[in-house]
Amino acid sequence: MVQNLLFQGLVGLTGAMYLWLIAAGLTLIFGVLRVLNFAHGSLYMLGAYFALSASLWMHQGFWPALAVAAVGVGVLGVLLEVVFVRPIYRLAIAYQLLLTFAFVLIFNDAVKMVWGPLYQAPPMPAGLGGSVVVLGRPYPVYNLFILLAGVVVAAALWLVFDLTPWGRAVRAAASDREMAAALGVNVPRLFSQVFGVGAGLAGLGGALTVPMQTVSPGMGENVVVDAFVVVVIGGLGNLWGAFVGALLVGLLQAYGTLFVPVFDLALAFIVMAAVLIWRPAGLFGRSG
Amino acid sequence: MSAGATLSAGAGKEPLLAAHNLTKAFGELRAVSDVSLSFFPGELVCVIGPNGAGKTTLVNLLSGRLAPDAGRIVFAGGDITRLAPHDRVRLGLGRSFQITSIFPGLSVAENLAIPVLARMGRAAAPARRAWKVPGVAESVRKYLDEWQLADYGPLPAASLSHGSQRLLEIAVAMAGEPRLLILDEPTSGLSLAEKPEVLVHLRRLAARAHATMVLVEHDMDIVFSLASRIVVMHQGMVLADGAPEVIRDDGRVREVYLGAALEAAPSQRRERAPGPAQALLTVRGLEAGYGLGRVVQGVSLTVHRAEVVALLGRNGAGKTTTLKSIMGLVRPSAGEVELAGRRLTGLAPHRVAAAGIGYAPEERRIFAELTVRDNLAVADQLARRNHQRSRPRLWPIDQVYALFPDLARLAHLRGDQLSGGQQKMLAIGRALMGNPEVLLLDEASEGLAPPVVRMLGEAVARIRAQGVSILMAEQNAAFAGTAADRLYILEKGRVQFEASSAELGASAEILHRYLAVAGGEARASGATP
Repeated sequence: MVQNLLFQGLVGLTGAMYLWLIAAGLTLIFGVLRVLNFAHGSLYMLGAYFALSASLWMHQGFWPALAVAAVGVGVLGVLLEVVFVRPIYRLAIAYQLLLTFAFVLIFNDAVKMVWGPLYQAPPMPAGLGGSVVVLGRPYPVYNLFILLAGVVVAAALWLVFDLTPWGRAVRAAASDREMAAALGVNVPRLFSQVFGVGAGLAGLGGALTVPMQTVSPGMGENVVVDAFVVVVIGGLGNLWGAFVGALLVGLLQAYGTLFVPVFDLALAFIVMAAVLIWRPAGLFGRSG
Repeated sequence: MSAGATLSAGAGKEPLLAAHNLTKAFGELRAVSDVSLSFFPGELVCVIGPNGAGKTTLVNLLSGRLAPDAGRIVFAGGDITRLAPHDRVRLGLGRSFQITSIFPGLSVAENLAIPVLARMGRAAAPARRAWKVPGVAESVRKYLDEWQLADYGPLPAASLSHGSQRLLEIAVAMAGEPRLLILDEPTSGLSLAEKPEVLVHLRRLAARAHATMVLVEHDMDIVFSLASRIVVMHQGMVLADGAPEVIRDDGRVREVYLGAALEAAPSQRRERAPGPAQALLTVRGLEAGYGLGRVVQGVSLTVHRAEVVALLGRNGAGKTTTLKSIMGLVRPSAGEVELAGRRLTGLAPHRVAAAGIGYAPEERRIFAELTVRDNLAVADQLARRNHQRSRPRLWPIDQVYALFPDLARLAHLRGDQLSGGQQKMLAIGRALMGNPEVLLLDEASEGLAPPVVRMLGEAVARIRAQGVSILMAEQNAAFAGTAADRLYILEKGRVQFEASSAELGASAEILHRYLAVAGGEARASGATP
């Protein structure tokens, strides 16, 4: 029984890392640019397709495919920010929602045009396939790899934002963009970079899920809803909050399946509703 | 002495609000340390003390914005230590803020309607229907008239000048008809001309039997003319508590607070370096504004190398907008800004900063979630780039720490844990970190206790001694007079007068005409009468 519980915890942690990889970029973009990017799920989907094409069409290995996805979607993110998002910072938030929702529709159809509407199952990367016995039960090696990847991404983001001058400038601009500009920070360029990094994280997240699930148009929509739940629980715009929110939702879903299978899909939403009632700014958000 | 005075003030009465052994620390810093105070019905208590004494923290504890680490707060017989701010407001404990906090997007009348509705228990009434709730329109009109805001009723609150916004904020706090009202520096940001007006309102309010007020204030004229009791705070503790006459004669209070102001402030002005002055910053025919309003209507001015120039004027005269236009934060509709012959007009703020202009805004605008050190370090990249362009780096971080030793001591605290005065220092230090040739200081002396104002004067002199020019917007004519070499007086967005500070000091008529100050009264804003 104890082993069972522990094993389910491991499943939950893996699920949490999948969520975290997507939620990180979403909360980063909102925290700095104050743009709620509905198209984040589409960027995630594009990451998956980019990785798929890199391995199927260009016969690249797993690692180059990851790089292609992260960098490719990151560059796309920069273009989107410069061409479309930048002109509407001054407008009401409804315009941002409309714009990013338009991206969702456009990218979904674009993906169908380029890759076709069918589900595609890519190959498992060498060395990460198969399973090992953990706590007396077989567990996919790839899921352990995802656990590691999530922690690495979290550590990397923490290093970048807390310890580098670039990260300091980002935090300053997130707090007061006008004042940051008056201190010499090139805020428009910084915003493009942050949007690119956020998009790149989505792309990386999509590419990382490729070996474990089928790739299809619309795969972003399901995921982005979960990511929003995670981000809202943790506090919109708070990276650390998104990490904790992902852990919470991941574990809840895993144990929910075990104990209350009827409710397991609703659990995350119930928690989100509870958080919104008790702490409207999220667990780590700052009110006001 | 404090015990006796307190007893006589509240003889035979129950305190309305009582704090018992309140303590609040931010990291290592004990902002409020074991403070016990009682406030009795009908009293007007002024809380004074040097910057960083813990006044704002105390107010935040009383109003529920911060939770104490230890201690209890009792209001009207009930323990409110753990009550949320809005619940305290409902019980009748209201407050205003040191930083203007009204709803900028709502109209002046709507801002006033919010507390009126809240009092009726209709806080959630939709804005559009608010006016149909019986009595709301009448109440709001009453407050508009009372505060002489009737002309502004339908305008967005954001369109009011800083001074009028402060008035509105106090009016909003009053409209809640609290049993006890805490006002945190209600006159900060007001010109000497506007202060008496607020004073009249406060006096009338104090005269009402049911109003009890706690006032945090720096202006000693206001404190001594209003207070029925004065509480002096120093380093997080209550240093003295008693009637104004008692406080005035208290040796320790004179020493840490009033005494410093009573000494004649030495003139920090030095003779300008001989030789032909070199124009560094030139502004010609600058026009700027927001929406349809033309706040700045053709300002021309010059700042020479290593010169301190002050822009004097009342609220709404266009001082802040002039500085913001120079910085590129407001896009001027006409005119030119040049730095050492290079045109800056229309450049983005980060390019203006790179060209060599630093900016310390009136509202401080500290990055709340960054530490003091990180706040300073934001401008580090800028200084490095400027340094590469062979401008010697005058203000590395240790020089800034030497200028403001407080910042070194507080380096690891978060920006929002500093007191208002410390944030002013940080804003100036942060601007210096970018290694500017010209430093723009917006209302640097506003809200500072007299000893700190004097320290600021010394800092200005030291900054100038390094060859940095300063353009400061000031309402405090006395501070500008001692700190600046030359002054421009702004009124209605135009330069009305230009003089050396010596000439201006001698001309009581000019001071009176443009600043509504009699020459004889021009004094450090904290000097005792």
